[in-house]
Amino acid sequence: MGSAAESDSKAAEPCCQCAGDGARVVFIGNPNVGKSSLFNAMLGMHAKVMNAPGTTVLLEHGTYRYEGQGSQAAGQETQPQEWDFTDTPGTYSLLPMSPDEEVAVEAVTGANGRPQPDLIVAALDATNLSRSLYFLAQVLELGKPTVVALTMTDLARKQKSPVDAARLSKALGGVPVVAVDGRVGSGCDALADAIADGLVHGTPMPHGLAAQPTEGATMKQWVRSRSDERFEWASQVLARVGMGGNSGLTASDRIDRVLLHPVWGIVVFLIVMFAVFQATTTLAGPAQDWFDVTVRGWCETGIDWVFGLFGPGAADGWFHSLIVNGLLDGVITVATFIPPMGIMFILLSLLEDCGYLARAAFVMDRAMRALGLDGRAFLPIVVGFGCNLPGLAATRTLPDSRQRVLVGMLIPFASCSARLSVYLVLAYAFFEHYAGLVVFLMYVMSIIVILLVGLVLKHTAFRSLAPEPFVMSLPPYQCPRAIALLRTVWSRLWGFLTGASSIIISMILVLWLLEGIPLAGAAGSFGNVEDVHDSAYGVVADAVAPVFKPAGFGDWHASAALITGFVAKEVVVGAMSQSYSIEQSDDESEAQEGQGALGVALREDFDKSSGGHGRAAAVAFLLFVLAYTPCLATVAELRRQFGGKVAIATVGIGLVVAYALAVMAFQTLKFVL
Amino acid sequence: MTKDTRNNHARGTGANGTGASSAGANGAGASSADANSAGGNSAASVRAGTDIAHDALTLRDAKTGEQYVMAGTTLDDRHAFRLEEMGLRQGTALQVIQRTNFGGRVVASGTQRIAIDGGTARRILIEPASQMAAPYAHERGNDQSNDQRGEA
Repeated sequence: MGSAAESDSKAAEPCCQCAGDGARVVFIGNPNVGKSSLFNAMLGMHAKVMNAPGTTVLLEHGTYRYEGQGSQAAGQETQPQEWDFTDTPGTYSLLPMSPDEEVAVEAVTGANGRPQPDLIVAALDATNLSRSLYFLAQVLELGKPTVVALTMTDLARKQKSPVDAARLSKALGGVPVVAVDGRVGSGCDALADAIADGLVHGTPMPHGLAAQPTEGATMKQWVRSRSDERFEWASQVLARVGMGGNSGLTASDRIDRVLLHPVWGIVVFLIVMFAVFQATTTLAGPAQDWFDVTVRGWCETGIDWVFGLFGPGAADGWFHSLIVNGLLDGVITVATFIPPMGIMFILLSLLEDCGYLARAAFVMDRAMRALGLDGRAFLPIVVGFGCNLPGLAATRTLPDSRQRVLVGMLIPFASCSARLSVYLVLAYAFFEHYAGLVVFLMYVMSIIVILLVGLVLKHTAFRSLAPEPFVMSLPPYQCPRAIALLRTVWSRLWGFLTGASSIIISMILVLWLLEGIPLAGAAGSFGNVEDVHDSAYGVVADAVAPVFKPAGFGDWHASAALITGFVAKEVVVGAMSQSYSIEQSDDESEAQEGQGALGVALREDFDKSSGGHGRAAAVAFLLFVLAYTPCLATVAELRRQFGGKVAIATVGIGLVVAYALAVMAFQTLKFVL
Repeated sequence: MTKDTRNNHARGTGANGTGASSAGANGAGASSADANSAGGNSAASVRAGTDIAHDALTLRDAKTGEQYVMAGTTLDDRHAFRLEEMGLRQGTALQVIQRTNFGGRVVASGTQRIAIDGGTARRILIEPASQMAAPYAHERGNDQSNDQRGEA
């Protein structure tokens, strides 16, 4: 492995934002062994998620401060040290089969210019020791100081095959083994001590294993050539620890009788999906309203009071409008996403930690595969139909980063509940009795568009994403622990907030600015424009409107609504009313609005702009709303998770698909509607 | 590999079908004995699938709750090796404990529970285990399965 020298020279390169001179500790292990819980338990809130350089694979980094107590050797220096922790995606082997596994392997071997680790923490699953030991053999043969973190020991005990850490360490010829439980945080101190010790004294190579040669074989050859020896070594260790027999039917097996049953499995799955969907929409609703109305009210009152201190009339100027309608609006908009995102993160963590998510992926695998998607893509897409944002958050359950990007690019085509409000108004305005049918057809179109765009993407940008055999080791069912759950949820929520807020707030400020610049004669003063058509915003809408002529709605009201819809779809109906100077009442439903004054205005306008084919234009408009760019928060989250290029590509694809659909629909339907 | 391809293979080696499959089975037997030393060359020939009789048992055919033993796969090299790394190697004892929709199977091997999709399950070859539940029971099981295949 000639890259050792290369890696040493690159080791001086700072890795992202970590402390450059602390010892580098890399965590590695099979998927679903509780490695991430352990990582987060050790780092507390200090874990940062970021993309591995040049990829969309997520890595967690953090700095661990070791206070230096409890060292075994007498007279050991107990100076505090700072270590650089890196968590890696789970991998079954050092011969990777996906980009995520590649990143894990590179992190632990220092290949491809990545810095060499000074110590490896290998997470081993006590309920799956034989396979874990095979993987450990590969890791040990890398020849770096290694510490074994033994997880799920409580479960192993319950399954009547307990594993004693000390005995295992002896069977491993002295490799330190620490029993840990990431969910409650036990064993973390002992693990830190073992790491400190390992950094100083190194790790003995167990008998039966051989250090990886520095020259000669490639990684692939090396992994494959000694696989039999490593399995032999693993079974010897197992024998020494007193294990190796079959386990009888476990409690998890009994639960799987139902949850993986050909019929009941699907029933349970649908119930769970429905519950998740309801939770992120209906349950989140009141909390969102609380932010939007109550908290906004408090803030406005507070701001008015502050302005009041500067004398009467101070609150009438544009600066007050900037604070209230610009800045505050932006902050509140971001805040309204906290309930659905928070609920999504909690549910995701619950489902992941208890072990059900793995089963869910298996249940849906075949059906999704027929559609060209991974089984685990079902949850993000279903949630996306409630709100795109938590749907995007749910893509992190997909183990393959290419799948994550693909599904992430498809979720914006899922008709979220905000789009529903627009569908309802237009459906009632133009189709009265058939409104329900029209809305239903929009959802059907949504699914068709997702499938078609998915198909196209798979044959173009994602050609390397071949359907992989689904072979997964099912984790035993566990009870998630509250503290670990809250910790994970908080760090993810914080990541979303810091990542999304800057874009959302700045765009809202831009909109405010456009709406506030008076450009027609008697429009009003800056920040106080009466008729929105007279502002810079109106000018922009006028400029954009002709683009939509082939789609039948080349009118500034429509384009103004669509531009607002770029920021948030919930606001489209309000923006439409505003453009017609129609007062909206709080308790009017969309159906009533469609049948009322707004409906009249819309029908008039659409008839005019489409040359008498108002309904066809309405359908075209609906299709455009379905497919064109998702709201700003979604774009911000796309950029945060997958990078600017993916975000821009998704917006671009959305606009192209939306325009094509709208024009085709209008040009064909105008002969019938 | 579709079912038809597998049958064609078998027909191609039809005359030697029985003989070839015994060779394959013996290869399987040999590899377990050599498991400690060699690099599984005989396992590779079983993996290539050229000498599998068309009525070889696959994981799809396995009856729930009965003991079987891995006899190889017809997967491509990369995936076959990954399957080995997950613990499903030549001669490993296993049983199917759950059938799921669309042909998926949950396999119990030791303390592991491995979920496998239907298409892959069709490509995993197994043999019934002998009365012993020991991992290398297939050496004895071979004699029985040779008799079975002899009737094919």
